Amino acid sequence: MDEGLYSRPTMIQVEQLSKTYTVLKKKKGSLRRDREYIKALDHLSFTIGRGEICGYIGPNGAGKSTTIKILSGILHPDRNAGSCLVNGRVPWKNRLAHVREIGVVFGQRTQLWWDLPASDSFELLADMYQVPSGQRKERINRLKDELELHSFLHMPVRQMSLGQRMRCELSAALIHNPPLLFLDEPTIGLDAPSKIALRNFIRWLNREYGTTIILTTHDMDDIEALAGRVLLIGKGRLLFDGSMQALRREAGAEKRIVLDLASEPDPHSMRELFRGTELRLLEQNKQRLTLAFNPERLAATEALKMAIGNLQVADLAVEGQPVEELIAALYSRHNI
Amino acid sequence: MKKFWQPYLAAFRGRAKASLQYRSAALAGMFTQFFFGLILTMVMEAWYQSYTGSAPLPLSLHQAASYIWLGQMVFALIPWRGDPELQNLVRSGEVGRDLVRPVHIFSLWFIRSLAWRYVSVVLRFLPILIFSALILPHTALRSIALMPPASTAGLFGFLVLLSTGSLLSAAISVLISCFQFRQISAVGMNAIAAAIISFFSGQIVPLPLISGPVELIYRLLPFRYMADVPYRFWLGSLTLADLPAALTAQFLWLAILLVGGHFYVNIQLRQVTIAGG
Amino acid sequence: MKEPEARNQLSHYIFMYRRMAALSIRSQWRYRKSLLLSIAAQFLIIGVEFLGLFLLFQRFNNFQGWTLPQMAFLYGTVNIAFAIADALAYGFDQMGPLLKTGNFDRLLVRPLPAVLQLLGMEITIRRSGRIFLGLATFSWAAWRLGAATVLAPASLLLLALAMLAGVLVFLSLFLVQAAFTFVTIEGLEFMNAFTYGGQQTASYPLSAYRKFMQVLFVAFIPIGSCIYLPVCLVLQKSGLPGLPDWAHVAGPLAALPFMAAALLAWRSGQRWYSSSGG
Repeated sequence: MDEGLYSRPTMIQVEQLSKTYTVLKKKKGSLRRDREYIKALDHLSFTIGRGEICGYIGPNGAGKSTTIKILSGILHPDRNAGSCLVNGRVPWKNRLAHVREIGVVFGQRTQLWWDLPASDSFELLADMYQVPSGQRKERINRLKDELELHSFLHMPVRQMSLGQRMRCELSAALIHNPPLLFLDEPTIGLDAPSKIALRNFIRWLNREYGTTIILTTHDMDDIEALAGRVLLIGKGRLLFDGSMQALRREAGAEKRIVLDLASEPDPHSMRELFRGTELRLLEQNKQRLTLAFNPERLAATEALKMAIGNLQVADLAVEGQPVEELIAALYSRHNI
Repeated sequence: MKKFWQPYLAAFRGRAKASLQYRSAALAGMFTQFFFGLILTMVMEAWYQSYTGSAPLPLSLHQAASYIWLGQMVFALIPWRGDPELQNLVRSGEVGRDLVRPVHIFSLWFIRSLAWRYVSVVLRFLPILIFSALILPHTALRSIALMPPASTAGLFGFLVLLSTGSLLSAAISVLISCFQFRQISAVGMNAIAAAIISFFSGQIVPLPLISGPVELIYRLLPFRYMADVPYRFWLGSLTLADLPAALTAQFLWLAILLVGGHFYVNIQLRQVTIAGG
Repeated sequence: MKEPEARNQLSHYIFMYRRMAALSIRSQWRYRKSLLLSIAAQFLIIGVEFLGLFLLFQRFNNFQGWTLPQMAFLYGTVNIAFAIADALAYGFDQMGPLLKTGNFDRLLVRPLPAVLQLLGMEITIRRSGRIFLGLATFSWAAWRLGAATVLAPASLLLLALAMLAGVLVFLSLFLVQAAFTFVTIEGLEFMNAFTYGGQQTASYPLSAYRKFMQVLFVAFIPIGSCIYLPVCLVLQKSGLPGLPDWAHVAGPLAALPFMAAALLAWRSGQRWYSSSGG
């Protein structure tokens, strides 16, 4: 790799990291249990620079949460298998020192005191992380403003809506201004406005403080909105590392043309019309036709000309292939 | 007719199966009960050794120790707390799921509770019996082992009353669970019920050793019919001739609790529906 | 150089514990009503235990040469210690659910030792009913026995030490129980034999039990050494045959190695967790 003048300093360096779980499986009709070894991480390597926002994706059981647990010091990797340096530290060597400088948000778990107002939790966490009293007030106010917490800050957490709670969770994880933030499914279950607000905040955080952010999620809109870089893992191995555009190319993403015709056409004649061309008829629903083409093989203008050619078009749109489909295609290509 | 029973039978089977899943918990519980049994019987032995009075005691040491072991054996039958599953159901509001089903609510819960208790008892009964009645007599602890039933008739009375007593027990545990409806702390209600029921069923002090005003109270309450009365048949202090009276009392209490419980649940459910909107 | 830092660390831990404890009490205060009910319930539970003791006294007149006030004195001491430990150990109790839901990981990404966070999770006020009744029993017994003798300065010091040691032993037992949870996930009910069983056992003079039980609760789970032996000295009862006088005074010290062992068990449990991933 090019270690150029402008490459960022490293935040996370993972080399040949492995993690094996031992599972005791009970055999039917036998009291003895068999040991089964499951390789959750299989010689995984990657590097993340300071100030990056990185999407970390993969299907369930791919090793995402194992990676996060190792990077945040919860879990030890296999002995003598690879190395891992986060923020200049081996996470599991000195856990207390390590966690002081990271923030973690688990989307489905709370770190707030359920029966108390979030403001109490913030104060307690600030004490726990030993945030100097001078900085603390400014910090909390800043988070309060950016995430618009004012109206519910003094409400018991248990009475908050999910969106309100998530905003508080995020603040709670950032009280100590960590240079590195892990977000695990931060937008799960949120409504659209909350999602957008949360994304805006994450972007702001990254810009303002240069916080490095690792985002694991199944929500590809999150990734597309936030992550400049995507790491895809499956079966404990790194399958892809690069930008979203590169991911599209890698997956052989198609473009789509959606046409609304003036009148409902005969399905058979439509199939005939596009037979043998670079345009593929994906779907026909009443007056609406969906066509697909590969932008590598057919320029968009050509495709449009071909599509509109002989038809009475009332309305049209060109779209990218939904990210979910791309990812699904990649998963199935890698057999995961 | 078969159709009518089906949901209740299914409820019984389902709960029994689920309860069986907790075999390891039952195993651990058993160890705890061995241990408590040992502590309690040793203390009882020390009481008897300390006695210098001349009046004969209502129970011999062997009988008193046996009373304690019987208590450990059927421990799971004493409804010293509400049915935890049912309480969760009410707390989480999932109780609505049962409401929309075409079944009699109180009966359904009653059946489920019964299945849970039966399985818990069956899992513990035999190991503790073997430990206290077959192993202990061959050790230095023979003086505080469980004695065999006083007679075949005594064993018969014990078993009959225990099985009918389990109905009483299930009814009481459903009733306790229903306190959850009142939104007051279930923990508190559970604890109060636990205190009263464990004492007045004879789990803390063998009831035959108690005389005076407390005796009057325990005789007036239903709780002894699930434990104390069956034990007395095993020990031989009650005989076959006492069985009809004991059974009558049990069923009388059962009828009172079932009818009362049915109305109580209905009233509470009506309020829940209103509160739930 | 390392010395002041370590002291700082310790004072930070103490400060954090007090902060968490205060928050926990505040959040429970929001449910005063049910709290009062729970305390009343606790009162009732040990009330019937004590009622049982009282009724047995009526039947048998004495217990191994101990009078009712003497028994109540021991009973009160043990129950105060147990109740305090029980109220402090709520977090240890929660290990099963914490592990099952994965919420234990939440504790691990915070810059405080997990044990401290568990201890600070909640100080369960509703379990304090036992403390009040323990105190009541203890006070009644002390009054009946003559406060001047049983609460003379030397006795009082020894008793305070005994109670402190008792709290530590019970807390350690709860900690060991929590440490087991790392491996078994399901809460370990068999440990109840030693926690609640220990409390039950220690509420009676240890001399009542067979030898193996005495050895168990003096040498292995030293709740007897910590409370029974000093109480014997204070009440001028003969303790266990074959034990020298100094053992009665030094008994409470047995809490220290026991606590160390419990912490060690916890540490290896946590290590196991972080290498196996639960």
